[in-house]
Amino acid sequence: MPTVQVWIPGLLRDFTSGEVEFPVSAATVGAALDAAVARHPLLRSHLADEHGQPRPNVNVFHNEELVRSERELAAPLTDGDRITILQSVSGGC
Amino acid sequence: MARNVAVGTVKGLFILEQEGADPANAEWQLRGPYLSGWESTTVSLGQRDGRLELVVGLASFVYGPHVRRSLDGGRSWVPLGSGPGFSGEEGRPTVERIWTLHRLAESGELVAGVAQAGLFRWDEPTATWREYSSLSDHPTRAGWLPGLGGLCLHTVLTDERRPGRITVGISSVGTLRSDDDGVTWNVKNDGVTAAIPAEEPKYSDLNRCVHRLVLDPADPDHLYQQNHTGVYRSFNAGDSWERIETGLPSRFGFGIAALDHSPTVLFVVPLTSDEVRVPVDGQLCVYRSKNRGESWEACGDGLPLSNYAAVLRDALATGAGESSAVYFGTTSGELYATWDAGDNWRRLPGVFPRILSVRATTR
Repeated sequence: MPTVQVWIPGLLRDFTSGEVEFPVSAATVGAALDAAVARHPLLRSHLADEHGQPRPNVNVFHNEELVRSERELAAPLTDGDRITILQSVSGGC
Repeated sequence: MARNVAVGTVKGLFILEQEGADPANAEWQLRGPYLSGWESTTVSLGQRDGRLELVVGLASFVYGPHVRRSLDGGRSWVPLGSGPGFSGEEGRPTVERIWTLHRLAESGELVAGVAQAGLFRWDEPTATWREYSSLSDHPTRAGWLPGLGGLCLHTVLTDERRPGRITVGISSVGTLRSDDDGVTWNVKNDGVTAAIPAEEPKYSDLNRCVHRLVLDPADPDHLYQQNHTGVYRSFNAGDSWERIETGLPSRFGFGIAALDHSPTVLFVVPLTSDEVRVPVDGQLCVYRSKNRGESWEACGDGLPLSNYAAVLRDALATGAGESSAVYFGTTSGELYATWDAGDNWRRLPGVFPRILSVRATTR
């Protein structure tokens, strides 16, 4: 099983005991997100609503690629890949 | 005596502290912001095991809503579970925002009112939020329409003199009351003017866009509401309502507060119509009624001239533990207080982001 790094944005670090980045073992991008939630369960409600629908302004990157589709969630991982959670660049002040 | 004022803003939570008997002439200490980056949409301030308890509803346009609690004055925070969430599959309502936090009078349990029109009770032993599903699945729900802020359940009222009764305000639905601890709910809008006509006759008693409800401290069957269409009172726990607008420069506004005096003293901050929504003539002014709404008078001494900032529904509150204290925050980030039931107002230190919620208590 590949081991990848998951990077957490500032606002969500309150739900990871301050962890900015941590390793998970997972075969796909989706499985890596599941593993991140398993490690820090309070992340779940901030990545998706209570019915499991992804929050539209939460972006997930697999290395440099934005994950937008089920196919990209199912993309296989390799050792050393990076999963980055970022908020979308939008909103006012 | 120590006073704490919690100020929820779009950029986090601030706390003002003051010690001494004369708050008007004392030095206030400002702390915060806490929970920066999260909107503090509503605040609950109270005592728990002899400590100051802060509970805050938080929102992010990216990461959604949740609730956190602090028992050390804001220095550390613990999430209350994952936050409220509607049961069921996609297609059921979702929790968009925490609009109010309230301690039930009988049990002391914490409840959260949310958009989209839901009520949840925090179950401390299991660390989960329990949905009042009979409200979520109310028979008239298909006729419930949202206001500008969504389908928000923004007010919860309980009183230990009326066991089992829970009254809620939902924009733009109106007032609903349960007399059996939230098992069943009845619409209580008789006498209130609709904001817009209902599309279907079976929903003709809906669309009463209540902006805020307040319970009379002297009598739990006496309710008052600032509505989209005016200011009303009920002397029968909401079974029927009548207008109380004599002396007001405008019917429109958001907040309403009640001081435990004899008779009860009421406060509103009128705004110019639902199309304009700024203080009438640019004069930020609090109106007060000393006769349970029979008539109103301006009581703006100490408030600034030429101020076009509004006061939102959760940003006008009486001070818990004080007989004559009222606090309010504005959309331009100014905070004001009176400690003599509205005769004189004083601005508190600080210019804050847009103020969403204000609560005050003494220890």
